[in-house]
Amino acid sequence: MALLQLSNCTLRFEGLTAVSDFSLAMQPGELVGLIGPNGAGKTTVFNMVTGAYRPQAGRIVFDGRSIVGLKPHQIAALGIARTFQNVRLFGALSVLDNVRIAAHHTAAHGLAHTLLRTARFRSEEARITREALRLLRLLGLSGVKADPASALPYGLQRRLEIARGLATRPRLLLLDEPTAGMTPVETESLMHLIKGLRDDLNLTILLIEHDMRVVMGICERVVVLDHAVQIAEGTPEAIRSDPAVIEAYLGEVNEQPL
Amino acid sequence: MTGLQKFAQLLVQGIARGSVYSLIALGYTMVYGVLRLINFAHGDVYMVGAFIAYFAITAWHLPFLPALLVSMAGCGLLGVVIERCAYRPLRNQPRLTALITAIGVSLLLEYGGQLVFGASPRKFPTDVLTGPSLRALNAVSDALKAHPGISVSTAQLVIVISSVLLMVALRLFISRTKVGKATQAVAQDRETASLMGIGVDNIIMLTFFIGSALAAAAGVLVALEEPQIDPIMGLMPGVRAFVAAVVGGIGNIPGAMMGGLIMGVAEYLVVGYISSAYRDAIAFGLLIVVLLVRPTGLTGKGMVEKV
Amino acid sequence: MRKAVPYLMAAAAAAAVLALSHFSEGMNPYLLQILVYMGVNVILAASLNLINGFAGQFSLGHAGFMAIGAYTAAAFTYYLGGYEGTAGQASGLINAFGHAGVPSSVASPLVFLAALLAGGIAAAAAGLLVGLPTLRLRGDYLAIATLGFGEIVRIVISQIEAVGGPRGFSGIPKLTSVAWVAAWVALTLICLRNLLASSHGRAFVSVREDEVAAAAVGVDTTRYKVLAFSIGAFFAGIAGGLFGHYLMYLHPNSFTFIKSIEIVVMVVLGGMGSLIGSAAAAIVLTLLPEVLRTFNGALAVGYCFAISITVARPLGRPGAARALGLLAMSTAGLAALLTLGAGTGSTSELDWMLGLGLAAACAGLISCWLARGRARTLGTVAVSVAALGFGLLLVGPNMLPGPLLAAKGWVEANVSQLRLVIYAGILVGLMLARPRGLLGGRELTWRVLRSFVRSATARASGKSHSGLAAT
Repeated sequence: MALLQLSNCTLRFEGLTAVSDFSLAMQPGELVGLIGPNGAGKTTVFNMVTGAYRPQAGRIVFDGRSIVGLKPHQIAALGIARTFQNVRLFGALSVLDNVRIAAHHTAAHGLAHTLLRTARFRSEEARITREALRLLRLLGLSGVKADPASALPYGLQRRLEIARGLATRPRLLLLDEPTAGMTPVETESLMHLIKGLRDDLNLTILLIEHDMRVVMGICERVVVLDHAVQIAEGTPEAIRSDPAVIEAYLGEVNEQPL
Repeated sequence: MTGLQKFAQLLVQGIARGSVYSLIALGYTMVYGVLRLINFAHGDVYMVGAFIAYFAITAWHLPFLPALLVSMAGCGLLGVVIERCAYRPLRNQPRLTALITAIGVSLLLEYGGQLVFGASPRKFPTDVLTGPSLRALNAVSDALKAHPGISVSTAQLVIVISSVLLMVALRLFISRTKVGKATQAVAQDRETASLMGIGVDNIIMLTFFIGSALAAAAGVLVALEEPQIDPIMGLMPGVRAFVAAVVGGIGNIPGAMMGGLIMGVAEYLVVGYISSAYRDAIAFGLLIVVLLVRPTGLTGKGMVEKV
Repeated sequence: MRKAVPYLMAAAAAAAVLALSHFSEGMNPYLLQILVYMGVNVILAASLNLINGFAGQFSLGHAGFMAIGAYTAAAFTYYLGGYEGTAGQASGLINAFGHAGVPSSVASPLVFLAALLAGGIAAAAAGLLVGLPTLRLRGDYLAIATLGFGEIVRIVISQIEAVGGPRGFSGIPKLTSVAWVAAWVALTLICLRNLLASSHGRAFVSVREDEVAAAAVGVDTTRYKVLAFSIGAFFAGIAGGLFGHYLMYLHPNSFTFIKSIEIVVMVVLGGMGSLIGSAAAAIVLTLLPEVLRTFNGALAVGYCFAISITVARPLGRPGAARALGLLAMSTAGLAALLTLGAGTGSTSELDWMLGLGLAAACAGLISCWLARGRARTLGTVAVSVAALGFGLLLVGPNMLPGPLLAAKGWVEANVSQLRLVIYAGILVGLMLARPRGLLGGRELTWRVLRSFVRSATARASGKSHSGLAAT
């Protein structure tokens, strides 16, 4: 059974159709790429899945349960984590705290335990801290764990966003242009990291990307959006030579040069 | 007086008071538009305006219109000085810091005013209304006094006409002149505007000048109708005008005009039909309801956050 | 050992409360009042910091919550308490306790506690009421809505005859003592600290920093916003109850938006993310108008202020000069406090102490400003000595030349009005000098203290190596 199933989803913003009749099925463990020219609607798909926007038509089913209409924090608690196109970290919090906060919804200590500092409080906080440190180690961020998130260099900020997403114990991870603005070396490193995370942590990953190296390198399947519509789907090699995809990115093949 | 006459009377008074609030609200909204700062000292500039006009009329024996202009110019200058000394150094600091500074400036003006002018109220010389420059309006007012339903005092006529003229002038200035458009640009995106060669500092100074001048005008106009002036007279009207600006959609000039009028009319209707004790409570309540229905004010565009 | 720390701190807090209550028995009532006000303001500032600082919700209506708590608690003790001189005298709870064999010395504090809690809970309910509908409002719009709420509460209360209406509520039994205030200050700070130094605390900050991201990691932003309002309101209500039962009289005009703004000022001054900062700012801002009442006090504050600016915006060489300035600041402040304690009558010892402190402050100020290079050392020393002399003259009796004496006379005559102007000026100056508040948005933890000391000593030692002006 598909872990995530979008069926015929349409999202309109007051006259502008951002996503039209979009369908996607993701099996557990897949690493799928979502590509398309700017403005195609890719981030909007993410926003629909995470509950930031509600589609006017269509169904979204996650792990057998419809998630349309649920609030973003509820969807996150169900096991869907995401990163953002423009990094959205909690700048004033330390790197460690950014990761720890993401584990908050798994915490078993409520207000009473917190105020009275019971044993349950101490053990839960210790568990959260342990797991956060583990994730930081996994993503190579242990050295900066006490620094405020806003002080990190860009590449590390992106990694921190991923670490934070992982702390929510997701089954599905949505990465929005994770290598944007990175050097080729950083991109290569992150690419392998993402693949490794999928393998080691049993994740399903949907990836928005512009960098074709990443798409070709780690995606098993690629879906292409253009102007709100899905225009192609297949293996990376098939997509690369698909005329509709080429046209979308580069314009008409038969256009006369100026 | 019949019911309809009473309603009309309250409406007229509300519009007169509302246009004063609009004038003050314009200052708030313009400054907020370019600086994202709630200028708490604005209500006190209004007070200074009334006092300058008071001294202009009693000490220098100026007629009404020149006194008004002197007051407006003086307060415009005051606004520029405040901006330069207290707000400009904090331009890149968190907004709340500038807010507290604004509160400090407001307190300075109030307490300083009490120190210099004394805390007891003075009577504004409303007989200036019978002066030569306002003869035509006096005639109109006397004519209208014959009809009980729509009796309008000279003061109220002056208020409404002055306010309308000033607001129209402002609107034309903002939309038709180059400087006005530059102001709009600064309000939208300060950094880009400066990259485009717009002298942002000068625009901001001009904004403060205009806003403060309008507040001064409001102070003088109100003093015509309620002649008791004292150093803390700017507090409540300042708050009401600020609320009006926010309800209209802060940063938005037509919004401030609308909000002020609504505030004035609501206030007088409540006083007339319910009770004067609940005047502020119901006005605030009404405004909260508006905000709940339209969280960004009546004309505010919803801030669509790009996720 | 670490496990014992919380218990040790609780014991220390309890000991402090007991000591305070013992020593306050014979204290000057004016001082007592200031202590009570300080405590009340600390609770108000800390609770508002939870809403404004940590959760990032711009609330300008805190006085409304305080009012609800004050009036509810007062009504409770007045109508249900059974205290002497109140409406419930004959039928109240204390009598009920008495019938059950509980002496009034035990029953009275219990009833007071119940009244305070009732006030706090009523305020918390109001916090819920305010928090929920205003969720959609952002920034300045939220500020307006909360401001409006505060005003509405005040006006509605002023129309309720049962609590005195527009004439005010009198006859409230005097139940607040320094011990009660101290205990609640401790309780408030402990509760808030426990809450904020936890996963829930991080949740609040995440809502403040980026709501969208917070929701994306599973934080229920609605719940936390409402929670911030409710908890903040609860403690504001407690503060109100303590306030009313000290003053024995309540009037709606004590709870205008001006009061709300005063509390906001304390929070911003102390730094939005710092509980200790809020407490410190509350203490300073409560003391300030009182200290300014006398001429000596005004001078002391003036110098303290100048020193603070110098310390905050280092000019020239720090190190010895700055240390001197800090020392002078504490001396001047202490002297001012002592002058305050003696009321308006000052003795020559106090005058000399004050003068010394002021002179040292002056010297420190001048040396900080001028100490830019070795070439100027001589000038610095000369000006410092001159400043020393001037400071001493200013407080010494009748040693000033004519015009200055007249000026001093005018100031002394107008001190009460002038102090307000000075207060306002200080506010503006403090914001210009320390825009991020006393602690710069961070909490005063040992780590922050250590880094501050480290950088201070680094700068001081750097002085001996380079000839450049350090920062």
